Amino acid sequence: MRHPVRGILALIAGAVSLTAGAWGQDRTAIICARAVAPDGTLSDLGAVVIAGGKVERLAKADEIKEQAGLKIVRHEGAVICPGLIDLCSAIGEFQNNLERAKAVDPSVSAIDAVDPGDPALGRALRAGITAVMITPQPSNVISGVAATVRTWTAGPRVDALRTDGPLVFALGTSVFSTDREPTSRPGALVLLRGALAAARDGKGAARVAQVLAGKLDAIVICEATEDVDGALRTFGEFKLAPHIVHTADAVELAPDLAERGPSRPATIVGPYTFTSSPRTLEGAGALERAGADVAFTGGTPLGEAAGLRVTAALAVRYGMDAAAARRGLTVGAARVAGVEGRVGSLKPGMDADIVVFSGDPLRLESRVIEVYVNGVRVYTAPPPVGQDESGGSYE
Amino acid sequence: MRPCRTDALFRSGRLAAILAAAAGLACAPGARAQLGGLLGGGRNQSATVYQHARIVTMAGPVIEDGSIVVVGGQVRQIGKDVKVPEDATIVDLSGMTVTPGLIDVDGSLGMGTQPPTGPGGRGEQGDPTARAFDGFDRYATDLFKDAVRNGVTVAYISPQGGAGGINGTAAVVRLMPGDGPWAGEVLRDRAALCIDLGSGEPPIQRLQTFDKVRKQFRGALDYREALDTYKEDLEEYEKKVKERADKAAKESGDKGKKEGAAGGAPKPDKAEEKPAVPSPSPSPTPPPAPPKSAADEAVADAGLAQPEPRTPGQPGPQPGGRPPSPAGLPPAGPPAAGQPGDAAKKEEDLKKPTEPTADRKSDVLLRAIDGDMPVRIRCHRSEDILNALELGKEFSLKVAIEGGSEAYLVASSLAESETPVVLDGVIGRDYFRNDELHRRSIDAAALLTRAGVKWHVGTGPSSPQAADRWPSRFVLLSAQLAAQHAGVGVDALRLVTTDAAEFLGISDKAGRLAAGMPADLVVWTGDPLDPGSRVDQVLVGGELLYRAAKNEPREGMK
Repeated sequence: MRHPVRGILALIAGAVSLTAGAWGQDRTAIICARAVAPDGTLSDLGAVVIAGGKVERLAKADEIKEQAGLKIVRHEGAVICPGLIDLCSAIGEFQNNLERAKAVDPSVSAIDAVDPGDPALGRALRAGITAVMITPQPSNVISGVAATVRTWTAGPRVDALRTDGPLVFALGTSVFSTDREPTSRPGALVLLRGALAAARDGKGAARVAQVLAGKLDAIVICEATEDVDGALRTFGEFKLAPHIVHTADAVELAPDLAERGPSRPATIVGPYTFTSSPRTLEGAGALERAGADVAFTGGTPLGEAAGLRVTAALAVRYGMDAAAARRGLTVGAARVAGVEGRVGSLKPGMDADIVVFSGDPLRLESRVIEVYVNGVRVYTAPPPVGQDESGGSYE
Repeated sequence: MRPCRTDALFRSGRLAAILAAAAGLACAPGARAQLGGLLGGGRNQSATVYQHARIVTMAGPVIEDGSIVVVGGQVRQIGKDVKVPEDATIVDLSGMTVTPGLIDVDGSLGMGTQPPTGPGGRGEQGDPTARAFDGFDRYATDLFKDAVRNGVTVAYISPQGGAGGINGTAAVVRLMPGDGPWAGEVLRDRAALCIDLGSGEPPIQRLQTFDKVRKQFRGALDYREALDTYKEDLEEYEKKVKERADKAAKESGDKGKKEGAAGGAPKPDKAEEKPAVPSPSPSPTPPPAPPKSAADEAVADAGLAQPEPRTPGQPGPQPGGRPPSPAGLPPAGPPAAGQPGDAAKKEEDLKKPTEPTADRKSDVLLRAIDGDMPVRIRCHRSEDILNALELGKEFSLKVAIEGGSEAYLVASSLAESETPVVLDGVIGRDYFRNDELHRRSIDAAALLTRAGVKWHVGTGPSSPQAADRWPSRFVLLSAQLAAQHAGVGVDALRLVTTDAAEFLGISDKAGRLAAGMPADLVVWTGDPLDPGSRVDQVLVGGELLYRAAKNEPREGMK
C-alpha cells in the first residue's frame, strides 16, 4: 500500500508483499482452475498468459508447459477474473466535487477533483476493484464528465483510463435548489431540453453537442420513476439513448429500460445492501430478464469496498442470472465507462488487470488472493489463518 | 404429507400449485393445533419420506442421494438407506440440497424499533425484567417471509431501543406455520440478559451507564445478602419463639394442665401472631412485663411495624454502591438501642425480622450471577469491551460481547477470559463517520480467529437510521463475508447452524438434521453458499412453511 493506513489495515498490510515485477518481455502464466469468461460464465480456460502487461492468451490449466522465460503462478481451485469495476463512485473526490453555482455545467471534469492519496483507493484494490468510474456529484442537471481511473496508483497522480466521459446528467431532488434553477422536476426538464436544443442549434456547450452528434456517451442518474420517465422522454426527443442509473423502481421500469434501440444502453443499479427492500433487490433480475444490460454501483467510498460484490450477490439471490451479474461487475461496467477496449474482460490484447479469487466472485466467502495491474502483481493478500505462506496446506 | 409421488408430478408447476393448495387445506387444522407446541402429541403421525436429496446434515458428513423420514414433525431416520414406512408419502428432491433451518444469533426479527416496555425508551435505562418476546410481533408476515425465503427459521431477539444499561432478557423464536400465514414460537425465553453499554453515547454518559449497571449488580448481591440474613434471623427468631413458647407451655402446664391442653401448641411461624402469646387463655400468659408507658409501647410497635424500608436492589441514594452493612438490618435478638437491658426487657424485645421487599429486578440479575442465564453485553468501543470483561469477572457472569466493532483490538483480553464475540453488521462501515463504528473492520473475524477468540455472526439489532428493515434474512451471507478472511476451516453454514444452536443453547431443537430432531428443513435448488441457489421450500416441524412458486422464483408462499 502506498498510503499510510491505520489499525487493522496496517496489521493486514504488514503481511502484504508488493512485487514490483520486471517490466520486460518475460511472460507470466497465472494458472487457476477457472476463469470468468467475457460472457460472464465460469470457463475452464483458467490459465492466463501475460506478456508486456497485456493478456497474451488463455488456456486450460494443463496446457501450460514450463519453458524458459515463462514464470508460472499456480492457485489451486481459484478463479481468475478481470479486475472489478465500480461505477458512479465518488472515490478520491468525495465532497470535493460539489459545484452548485450552475445547474448546467458540462465543462466540469471529475478527474480534476480526484485525490490520488485517498486511502479508499487502496481499500478498493484489496477488494478486487481495479478501476472506478468517478462521476461528478449528481447535483446538477448536467454535472460534467466522469473519469475512469485505476485504483492502483504508482506515482503522484492517478492512473486514468479515461478522463473525458461519459457526460453525466442528473434528475431528481438532488438537483433542485432554492437559490438557483431548477426548483422542481419540470424545471429540471426545461433546463435539460434547453441545453440539448441549444446544442442542436449550434449554440450550446461543446460536450453536449458531441453527445448529440453521437461522439460522446451519456449517462443519466435518475432518482425516482418520474425522473426515469422524464429522461427517456426528453432524450428520446433528441434520438438519444443514454445509460440510466436507477435503483428504486427498476422492477416496474424494466420493460421501458430494456428496449431502447440497437446501441443497447445499460442500466446501472445499486448499491444493494443488507437493508434493501426485497422489491429493490428484485430490480436487477427484472431488468436482466426483460433483456437489459445491467451493471452495478457498489457505493464506494461511502460504503465498504466489499459492497460491490455484495450488490451483485444480492442481485443474484433475488433472481438475476449469475453470468449476467459477473458481466455487470466486469465487462458490462467497462462498457458503461467506455473503457471496454482496455479492461473488463480476459481477451488477448487487453490490459492485464486481473484478480485471483479463491472461488466464484459472486460467492461472498471467496476472497481476493492476488491483484495484477498491467500484468504486475500489486497486491497479495495475507494467507488466511491456518494456511501457510506457500498457500498450500489447508489443514 | 403431500401426495406427490413422482418427480414429474412434483416438478410440474400447475400441479404443484394445486397440490400446495390442497395440502394447505389439509394442513390447516393441523397447523392450528400445533401453534402452541411443535411436538404436541397426537398430530399427523403418517410418514413423509424426502428422497434423492443432497443432505447437509451438519451432524456428520454430507449425504449424497440421501433420504429423510419425517414422522410427527420429527426426523425419524436420515441417511443413504432408510426403511421407508408403509403408506409413506414420497417426495422426490432430486437435484436439491437440504440443510437445517438457519439461525440468527443476534437479530431483531419482528421487533420493530420500539422498546418492548414503557420505561425502556431511548434516553432512559431499561428494566431487567423486560422481556423481548413481549415486544415480538408474531404476525410480521412480510419480514418473516423474506427471512424464510433466505432459509432462516430461528432468530434470537433482544429488547430494542434502550439507550444504555440493563435492557431486559432476550428470547429465541422459531417461525411456524400458524393460524395466519405465519407465526412465531418461543424456543427459549430468557435466552440471555441484555446489557447495552451505550458505545454510541459520549464518554461521560458511557461511564455513568457502566457505573449504573455495576451498581445494579451489586444491589442484586446486597439483596441476596439481605435475604440470607433475613432467613438466618428468621430461623433464630423462630427458634427463640419456640423456646419461649415451650417455656411458657411448661409454666402454664405447671399452673394448670387443663388449660394448656385447650390452648393447643403455639404457632410461632405465623407472621402476624404475637410471638409471646402462645395461648388464648389470659391467665397463663407470660407476664406482660413491668408496666410500660404508652410511649415505650409506641416505640416498640414502630420498631416492629416499620423497620426502615429496604430495597437493596436499588441502592440509589447510597454513594458508591457500597453494600449496606449487615448491621443495618433490624437485629432480632439484641435489645434495641437505648433500651435498658434487664432480663424481662430482653424477652419483651424479641421481634420478628422483616422480610426484604421483593425485588424482581435483582432476581433476574441473580440468575445471571448464578450462571443460569448468559449475559450479552452490547458494546463497540474497545474501552467498553474491557469494562464488560471487568463486569463479567466481578460478578462471574457468562459474558458474550455483542456488536464488538473493536473487539479485534482487545482480542487477547477476550481470548484470556474465553469470552465469545457476536459480530453483527459485518458490512456497513461508513468511512466518513466518527462514531462507535468507525473502526469496524471486515477483517475482524480473521484477527479474532488468530487470537483464539470464539466468534459468531448475527445480523444485529435494527437501526432507527435504516430506511427499511428486513432483519435476519442475510445471516448466511453475513457469515460468508466474515468467513472470507477468517481462516481455513471456517464454514459459513456451520456458523449459522450448529455453532449458532450451541451458542444459543438450543442444540436439541435446531441446527442439525438427525434422528430425533425436529424436522426443520430448508430445501435449496443448489449449494446454499451459491447466491444463485434459491430456497425451494421450507418445512418447520415437518409442516410446509414456504414454497417458492414455480417460474416466479422470488414470489409465492404457502
